Amino acid sequence: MKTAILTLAVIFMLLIKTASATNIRGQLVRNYNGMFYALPGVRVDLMVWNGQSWVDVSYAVTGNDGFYFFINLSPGTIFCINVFGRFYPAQSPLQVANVALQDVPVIST
Amino acid sequence: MNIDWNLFDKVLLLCFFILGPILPAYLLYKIAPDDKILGNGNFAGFKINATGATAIFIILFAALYPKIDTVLNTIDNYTRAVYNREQQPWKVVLRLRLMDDKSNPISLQDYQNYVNADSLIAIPRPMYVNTDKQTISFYLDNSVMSEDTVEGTLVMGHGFGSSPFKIYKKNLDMVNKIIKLSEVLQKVPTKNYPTIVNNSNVQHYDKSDGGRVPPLVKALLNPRK
Repeated sequence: MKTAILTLAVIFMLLIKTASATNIRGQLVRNYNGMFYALPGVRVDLMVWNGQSWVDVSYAVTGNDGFYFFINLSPGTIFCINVFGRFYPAQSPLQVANVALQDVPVIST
Repeated sequence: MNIDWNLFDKVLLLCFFILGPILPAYLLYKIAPDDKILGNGNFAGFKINATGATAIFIILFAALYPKIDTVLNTIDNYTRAVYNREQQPWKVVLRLRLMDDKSNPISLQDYQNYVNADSLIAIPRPMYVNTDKQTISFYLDNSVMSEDTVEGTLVMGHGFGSSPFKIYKKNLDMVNKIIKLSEVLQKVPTKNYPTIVNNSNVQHYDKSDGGRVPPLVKALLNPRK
């Protein structure tokens, strides 16, 4: 029994360790007369807080379904999204979670 | 102080061609001053008629003289080759593998659609895409490579995301100036994403949630204050 618990604990620790890079996904849509349509081909900039200032570290281009992805981000990184000159969210930035895939809420322009 | 080593080498070589024959001539003069070695004939349009050490000097100089141009050209070619190699940009060959999931690569047709010179966005700008070998080649100026690390970005659509990659200056092939990198990207699925397109009740950001300036970080770092 003890061996089994120990084995599970080790596997759990290994699983935690492997989840060291996070992929981020989000979607860009356009609100038109109350209907939402995916926005393709739009540049989405990833702004990261480096401890002193915001740095534009990378950008993605939305696909036909409006989705954009940033991959291999370190958990704990503070970030926000810059689209069409606006920074989302405006009030408080987001933080990369220690999960394999993190969703950023849909941005409706 | 900048020294023109090419000119320096040439001057040194000319000194060797002129002074080189002096040594045997001097030795002959010292060992056998009465030796009557005769040297006569035409050299560079002049009629020569010399004996002893002078004859030795003239004979050796005349023998070496036709080689001067060849050796000077060799120095020029070598200098030019070194210069060209220094000026030649670095070639970066990025082997990019795209996976549907952990074990299955995407089909060749999809690869050709996703990774081609027209659709691929990368920094630095890709120069050549080889879909058979699944490589992307681009060039980096020497000024860029003067940094310790060079950061590039691969902007892929179709679920492969935007991926930064780093080129470290360590262990570089300085002779051929080729850097080989490898990147494996796995497709990020879009299923289970709470999209607003089909459900307007989904939490989302609209224009009012976006600011003209980035958000304040203080609130996140000190949530209780």
